[in-house]
This record gives sequence, C-alpha cells and structure tokens, in this order.
Amino acid sequence: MSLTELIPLVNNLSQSDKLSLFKLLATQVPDAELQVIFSASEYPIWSPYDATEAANILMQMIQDDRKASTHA
Amino acid sequence: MPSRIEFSFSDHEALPTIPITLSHTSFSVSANALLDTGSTVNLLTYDIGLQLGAIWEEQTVHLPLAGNLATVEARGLFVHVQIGTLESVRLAFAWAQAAQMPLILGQTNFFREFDVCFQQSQRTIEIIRF
Repeated sequence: MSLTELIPLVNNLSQSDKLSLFKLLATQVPDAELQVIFSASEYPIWSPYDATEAANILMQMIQDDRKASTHA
Repeated sequence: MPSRIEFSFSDHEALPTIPITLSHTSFSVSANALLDTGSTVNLLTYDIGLQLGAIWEEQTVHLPLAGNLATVEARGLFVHVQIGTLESVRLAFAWAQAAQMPLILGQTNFFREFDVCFQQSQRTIEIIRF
C-alpha cells in the first residue's frame, strides 16, 4: 500500500487510534531524527502583550504632546 | 473624508495585516502592519524608523518592553499613519532596536483611535476612525 492510499485511512482513524499509530511510528524512527523534528525551532512571540509600563509611558507622552499642542 | 475602510483578508493569510503608510519629518514608508489586539503598544522596527529619518539618540523617552522583547531597547516616537483614504493620524510607537519583528499596531494607541472589525466569515477587516 502506498502512502497516498494510506493517508485517507489514517485521517479516518479516531483520536486514540491516531495516538497509538503515532506511538508505534515513533518507536521506528531513530531518536536523533525525532529530536530534529520536535526541537528544530524556537518561535519568538514578538507581541509585547504585557508591556504595561511601556504603554503607560507612551500614554503620558501622548498627553504631554496634546498639552503642548494646546498651549502652542 | 471617509471614516471607515475595508480590507480583504485572504484565506491564506495566517495573521491580519493591513497596508499603511508611515510618515515622519519629510520621509514616508509603506509597509504591512499586523493588527495585534494582544499587544499593549504600537511597535516600530528599527530599520523603518531609520528609513523615516528618525534619529535614535534624539528620542528621549525610554520604554521598557516585556516578554522576549524585554532585552530590546525601545524609545517613544510619534509617526503619522495613513490607512487607505482615511485621514492621517499621529500615533505613538515604541521604536525598538530590533529588525526581526513585525510592524505592530497595538492597544496604545492604535486601538484607542480606531475600531477594528475582524470578519473572518466575510474575509474582511474593517477599520473605523472614531
């Protein structure tokens, strides 16, 4: 059976069967290759979601600018 | 002058970005900006700031960033932002000394100036000036 024929069958498996298949395949792949697959990359999150101090300083900068514009 | 504008949002795009034009002094730069409701600040990359003619040493407002940007130095910079045919607005950015990051429109102060409707089912992003 080719991989092309196999993939639709795998897609139809239940979650637990997929997990069992995954475990079976993992035992047949050398550790070094698995490490390459699972630790290949770091994914930086650039979104500064908790930079509240920076946001407060920016707000102050905006308010100071508005005051300066009003008085100008 | 219209107060709202709509952009198409492709199925293939993983993240919502819109084309904007940034202006500062006598320079302008066109770029795609990420609409990031999770970002507390607008973020300007170092190279775009330089292209806009900004001088790092002249920016005196130091901004402490957080997360994996905590080690990156950032300074406050006002930049005019034009979105399509909407009236240009002056936004405050954290100009960060980093290149490998997106141009971000965040809570302070892009989302204080605009309403944004993400309509995934219609594949559109609507920007409304208020």
